[in-house]
Amino acid sequence: MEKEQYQKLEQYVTPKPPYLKNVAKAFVVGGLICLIGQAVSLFYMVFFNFTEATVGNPTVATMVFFSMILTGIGLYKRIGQFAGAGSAVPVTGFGNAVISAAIEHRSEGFVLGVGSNLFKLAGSVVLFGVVSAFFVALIKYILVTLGVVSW
Amino acid sequence: MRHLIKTLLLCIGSMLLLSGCMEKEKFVVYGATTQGKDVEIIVKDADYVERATVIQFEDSMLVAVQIKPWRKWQKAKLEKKLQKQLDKKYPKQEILVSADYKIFYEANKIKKEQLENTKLNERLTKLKELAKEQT
Amino acid sequence: MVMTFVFAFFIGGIICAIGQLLMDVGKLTPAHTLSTLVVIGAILDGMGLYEPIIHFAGAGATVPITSFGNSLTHGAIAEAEKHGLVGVLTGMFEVTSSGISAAIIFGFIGALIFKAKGNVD
Repeated sequence: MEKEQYQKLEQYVTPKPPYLKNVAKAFVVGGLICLIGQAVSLFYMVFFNFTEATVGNPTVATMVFFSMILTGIGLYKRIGQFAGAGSAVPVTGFGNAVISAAIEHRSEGFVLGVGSNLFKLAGSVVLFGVVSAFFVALIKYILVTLGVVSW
Repeated sequence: MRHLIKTLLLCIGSMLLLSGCMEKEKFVVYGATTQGKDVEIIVKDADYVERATVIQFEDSMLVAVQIKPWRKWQKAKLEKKLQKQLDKKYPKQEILVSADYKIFYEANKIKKEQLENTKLNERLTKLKELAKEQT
Repeated sequence: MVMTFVFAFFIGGIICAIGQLLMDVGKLTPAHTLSTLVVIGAILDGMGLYEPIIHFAGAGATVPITSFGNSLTHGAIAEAEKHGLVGVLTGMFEVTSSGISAAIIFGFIGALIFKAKGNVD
């Protein structure tokens, strides 16, 4: 069978994902994770010296810590199977990607195993984040120098 | 599963109801009230402010406000607006306006603990510094 | 305060729902989806639209991966404002370090503490 024919057949036979259900599940789980994040933020603001402007850092670090626990005991995988993007999009998903890669490759040693595989999935996030931030800031700088926008 | 959802909805519903019922004092001024009345008028005029706590000590003033929820996305702009208004009205005073929740929370703590003089001044300056932090 | 929780839930949920649509309808892989969202976060901050979302929804905007793009761009722009063009490079990781450092550190610690489970499901 030719490649095109096969692809057409594959498209025809593959069941369509239940769009609405998936979006609803992602919405609820993602919202819940952010809700927990908001509680963590409130905790840091009340009991420590963080303001609304500076509380983002410890909040994110704490959420990654939670994802470490959940990934280590194997629970995050189950949440991911249920919620799809609801567990992948928050920073806990990023943490899960990094931490699960680290745990998985630990048997190959820390330098060759953990070290080189740590950013297997997270690498693209960091790459595109940095590159897009660079271009956006560059464009803004040029626009400001030309006097089109202000800082 | 259904039982869990029901209890969750009940909790959230009652929380929302209670938060509307808690009529805390909307506007609080603490400290030497030489300009108390005028500040009250300006802040109450600002319809985007939900609650405000003003701490005064000599010529240093901290105006900690909470912006109404639906206008919160304009928080930075409204903060600057109120700051300009108050700076114009009281050019000789060191006024800091902050819409930050932490600052508001701490300002209320100062009022609750009824601090005086040097302690009040210390806390006030520390709080003002905290409000200016960026990271 | 209560309203901030409600908004956090909604905005966080919406961002994740958008991610789900990108994966289902756009047929993007998770890596593609996350990369796209980070770029969107960066662009929104360049236009000055992401900070208002953070003021409005709190953790609903700082927890999703889009906040990485926002922090990187925010740091770069802030430094460029102060120190000119070179600031674009130097300022980037000033604010973001938290999420990425935490992921690396906890990844390492996780590898120390936890044992790898085979893919049995």
